[in-house]
Amino acid sequence: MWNSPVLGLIGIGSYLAAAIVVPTVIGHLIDNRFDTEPAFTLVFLLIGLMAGLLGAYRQLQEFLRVERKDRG
Amino acid sequence: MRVSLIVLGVLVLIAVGVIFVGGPSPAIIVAPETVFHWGALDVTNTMFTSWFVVLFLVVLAFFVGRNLSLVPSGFSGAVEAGVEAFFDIVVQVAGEKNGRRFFPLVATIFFFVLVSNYAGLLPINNVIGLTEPGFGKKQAVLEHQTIAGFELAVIPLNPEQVDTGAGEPIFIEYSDGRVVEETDDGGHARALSSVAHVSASAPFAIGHTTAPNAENENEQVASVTRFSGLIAPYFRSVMTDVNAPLAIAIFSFIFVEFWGLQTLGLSYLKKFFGFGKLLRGDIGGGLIDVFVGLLEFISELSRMVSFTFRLFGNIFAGEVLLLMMTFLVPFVLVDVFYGLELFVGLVQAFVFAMLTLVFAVTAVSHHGDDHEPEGAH
Repeated sequence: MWNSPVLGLIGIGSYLAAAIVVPTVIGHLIDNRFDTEPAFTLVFLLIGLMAGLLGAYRQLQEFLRVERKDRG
Repeated sequence: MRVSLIVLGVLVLIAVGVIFVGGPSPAIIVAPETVFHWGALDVTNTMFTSWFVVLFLVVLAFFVGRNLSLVPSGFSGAVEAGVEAFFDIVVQVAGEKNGRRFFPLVATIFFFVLVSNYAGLLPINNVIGLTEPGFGKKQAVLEHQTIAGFELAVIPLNPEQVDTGAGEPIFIEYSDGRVVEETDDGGHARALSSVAHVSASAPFAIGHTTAPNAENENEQVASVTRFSGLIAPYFRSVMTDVNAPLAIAIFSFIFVEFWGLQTLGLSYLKKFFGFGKLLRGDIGGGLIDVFVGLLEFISELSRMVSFTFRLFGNIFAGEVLLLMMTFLVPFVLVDVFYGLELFVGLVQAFVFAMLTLVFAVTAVSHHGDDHEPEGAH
């Protein structure tokens, strides 16, 4: 039971949230520093969305790979 | 018949609790309170509690380790069985070789978080503490009594409430009849340099006041006096301080990166710096690789934040839930939530440890090919 890759999916929800929020906050801080609102916020938000998607996809892929192998 | 009697008793207790013992709503404050100073260090109550947790674990480990024998028995046998069961899980996930390598950190995280969470459910939390005037908060009026020579602030049943707006002075009435006016001096209370956690706690809460009573030492008046204030408890659940989960998350991050570097060498860093294709002249694919490396880096950072806030959020929310339930429906309903919090404490400890393990396994496995992590099956 414990070697199931499903275990890696425990944190996928909060991971996705953090992957979006963290870069957006960084972008906002950069904008505040250089007075360029909203350029960096948007760019970092996009990067965060992509990072979240990519990371979540990778974790899912690992799970699906093993699942498929088990089915033969 | 018996069941219906129990149900009736429970309902009566709930009714009595709601009607007669319902307290004021407590003030929830996120930041931990400083309870004393140790040199330049402000010792907060969460820190103070975590020392006791560490002490407990060290003493437990010492005594269990001393009684190790080939045929385990009694308490040390039970602890050994628990540790062994956890070890089996770790080996199943990471394989024999990596499991032995990761186990010390993963088990430390698990047991520290577990004991912290369970220690946070003990009834010594949030009820015994220093009191201080609270500003800008609705607060219960504490009764100020001298019991066995100690000045204590006792929260009465159904306490009277005062509303202090921010910046307005509050009045403290001492046992000798003096009334002292206090205004907000930037969060610096008389005894503490922090804000308090709970305005009034459970009906049996006791707080040690710092009322200046040196002048009238000879005539200790045992009269009940009103003392408006907040309690800064000595003990508070460790993980309700965001610094604690953050510290563990940073350590988990450092160890995962270290294990990745140790196993794969510098090729581990390829994951973050995908310049290979770009240097070979493949501009399009190379740029994508560089961008993926950046995303990889951000996702590692996000992992730390998600670790922190998952644990902090769950435990803090549980604490608030218990506190609110204690005040709204005393006696019965809150016990159900204590059971829930026991479960949440275990699950969160397990999730933190297991995710660290899973990320460590991912970090030491080779990227890009379908190579299975060593020993995993």
